[in-house]
Amino acid sequence: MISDTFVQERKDVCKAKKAFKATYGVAIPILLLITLISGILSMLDSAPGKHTKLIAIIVFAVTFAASVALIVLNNVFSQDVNYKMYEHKINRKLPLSTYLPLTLLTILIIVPFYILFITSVKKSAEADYMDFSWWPRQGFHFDAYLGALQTNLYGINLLVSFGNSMIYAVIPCLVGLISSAAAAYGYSKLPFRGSKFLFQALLLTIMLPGCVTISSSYVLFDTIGWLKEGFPISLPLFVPACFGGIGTVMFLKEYYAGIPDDLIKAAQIDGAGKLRIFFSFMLPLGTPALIAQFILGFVGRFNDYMGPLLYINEASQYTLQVALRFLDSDPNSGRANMAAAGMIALVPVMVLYFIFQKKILSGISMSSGLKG
Amino acid sequence: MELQSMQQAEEVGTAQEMPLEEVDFLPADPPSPAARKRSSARKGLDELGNFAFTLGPTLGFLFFGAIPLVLSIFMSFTEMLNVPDLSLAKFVGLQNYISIFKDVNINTGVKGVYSSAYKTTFALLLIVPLSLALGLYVAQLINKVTKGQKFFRSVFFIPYVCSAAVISLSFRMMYDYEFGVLNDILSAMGFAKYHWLNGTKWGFLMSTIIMCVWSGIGYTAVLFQAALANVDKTYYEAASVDGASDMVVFWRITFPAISPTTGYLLTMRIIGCLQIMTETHMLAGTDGGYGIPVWPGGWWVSDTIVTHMYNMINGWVSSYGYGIASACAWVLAAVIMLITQINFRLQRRWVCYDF
Repeated sequence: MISDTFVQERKDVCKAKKAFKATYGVAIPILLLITLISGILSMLDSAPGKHTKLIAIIVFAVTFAASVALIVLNNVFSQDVNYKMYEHKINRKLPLSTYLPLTLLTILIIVPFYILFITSVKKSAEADYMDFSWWPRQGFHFDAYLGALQTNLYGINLLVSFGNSMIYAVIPCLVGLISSAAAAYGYSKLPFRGSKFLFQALLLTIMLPGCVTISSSYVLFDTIGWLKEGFPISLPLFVPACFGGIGTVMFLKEYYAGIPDDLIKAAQIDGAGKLRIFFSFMLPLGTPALIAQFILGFVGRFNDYMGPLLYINEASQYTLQVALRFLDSDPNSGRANMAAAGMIALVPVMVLYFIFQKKILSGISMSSGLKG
Repeated sequence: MELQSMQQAEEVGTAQEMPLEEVDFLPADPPSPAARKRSSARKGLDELGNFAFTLGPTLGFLFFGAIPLVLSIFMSFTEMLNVPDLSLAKFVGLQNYISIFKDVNINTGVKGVYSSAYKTTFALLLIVPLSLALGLYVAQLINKVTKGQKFFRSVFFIPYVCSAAVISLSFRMMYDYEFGVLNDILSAMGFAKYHWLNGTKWGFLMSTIIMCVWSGIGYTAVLFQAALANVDKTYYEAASVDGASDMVVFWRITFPAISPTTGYLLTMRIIGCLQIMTETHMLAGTDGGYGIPVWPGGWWVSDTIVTHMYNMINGWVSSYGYGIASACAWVLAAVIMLITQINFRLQRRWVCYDF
């Protein structure tokens, strides 16, 4: 039997906890601000006092540790279960202590994108020479977009780079997907000697960090002759991805293992060979997983920066990310034009993201291999 | 994981089903010895056909994974200066490794490995705890909210989907000395403007760290939120019936329940942070561009290890050579594998997989 005093005690404890949460909610931003300021002060060389820098370093370390600890503690005190058990869902107001930090953090996430957008719609004179303002002082102008699309510095054209990015992202992803799907079909449904051993040996190769092959891949491609000028497509970016990747194979293999064997045996009885079964059953049945992997692969390859930086030498073959970097390095490219170029670079990924949100998010959590 | 469950399913099987291995793509064995010989040859051919399906990724790994791997081991013992030509490689033994550990390149006299390693480690020590703690905080908030869960989750995930180049572009505008938002806010509050990008190298590093934490919150928050949502509510109810305090509930129920995710994220973030390249490269820019002056030390003042390796290959400064880049890569890989091993060993203590 739960007595009334017990319930009252729980209510008092819950009220005290809410007061705690309120103070934590205020204390954490202040602490983070102090951390930031002391961190900045500790790095200034021209500090007023003699020991200011040392004090700033100590203050920074202490407040940094304290803010991390407070954030963790705030997680600890977010266990509202007791409250929910005994209040029975009366007084169901919007819990401010939850929505307020969430809204603030959402604003924090949106701010850089907003700044990119606002800078791109300012007039270039305003963006370059006037102080920053949250709303364009001279109205909305879309000249920056035209200017960005028309730049031709060092032979780099944004539209051409956009096309290059799409070519290097879409086609190898598609071809690699089919290759990985075939491998997943082979590993999951088609037995052969050494299949398990081969699969696990290939899985081990993911363990090696990617940085190891930077230099030797470059030398290898140069020796083969793929880095010469005059190729219409940069082969080192294109070909390796067309063979498929082990991560994709792993993901698809688990998915294919869930397809019942009866279906395949029925097709066999009707006389279908392995290839026919692959194209008529595995690919259509695996469509959700294939789409998820394609989107993740596309996003990864479209946003890839280091690969194109390494392997592409001709300006006409630069992808969008590398083009952004080189356009940015020119002192004459206005801030508004660069912001417009950045917005253009964001468009395909954002569109894909907003359409396929669910698949991307579930694909991410699944590919981490954890429950949920 | 699913691999083990598949093997278990194979072992147990179902009563009336034949396991797939016993059903050939051919009819059953015919009785006569000649025909049996023919069919076993066909079985071999059949296995070859099965193997052929898996050839794609295997070949890809062989050509573009295994060969560069072996080549890089070989290259790290040679000296290849300025030209990626294998025929001009000179075998020099451990000289590359020695010059890395002594932090002086014997041929060009340019330092850089240790300073970039310090910077990378400093960034790692700040980025990983902050992004994990803040991600957990955000995940707790999202988990408690009933109405806007999907909206908040998708908003927080946006920085992960965007390319680091565009994010660095936007942050470069924010960090600008005269026209950036942050200095605008600072001067409005009465502080002096701060040289975010063109001051000291530690200032630059702090700016990079802030950007990396900002973009890392989303990924960690989404993963943590998925893990939090999967914790069985009965544990919480049992705990509240027993009158457990919140501290106990967090450290005994929530934290162990999400510890697989925490361990995975810790490992992945450490490995990722040790190989940061894009953010620093884009944030540093070149000389020019919004009036940011050239670094006093040249390119490598703002570098992380991988940027340093890239500079070695591409010769933005005097190029060291491809051999030293391979040696540096192997030292980094050894460090990463060591840290991962230590991570895994330690994780056996605090990660509970069977919650």
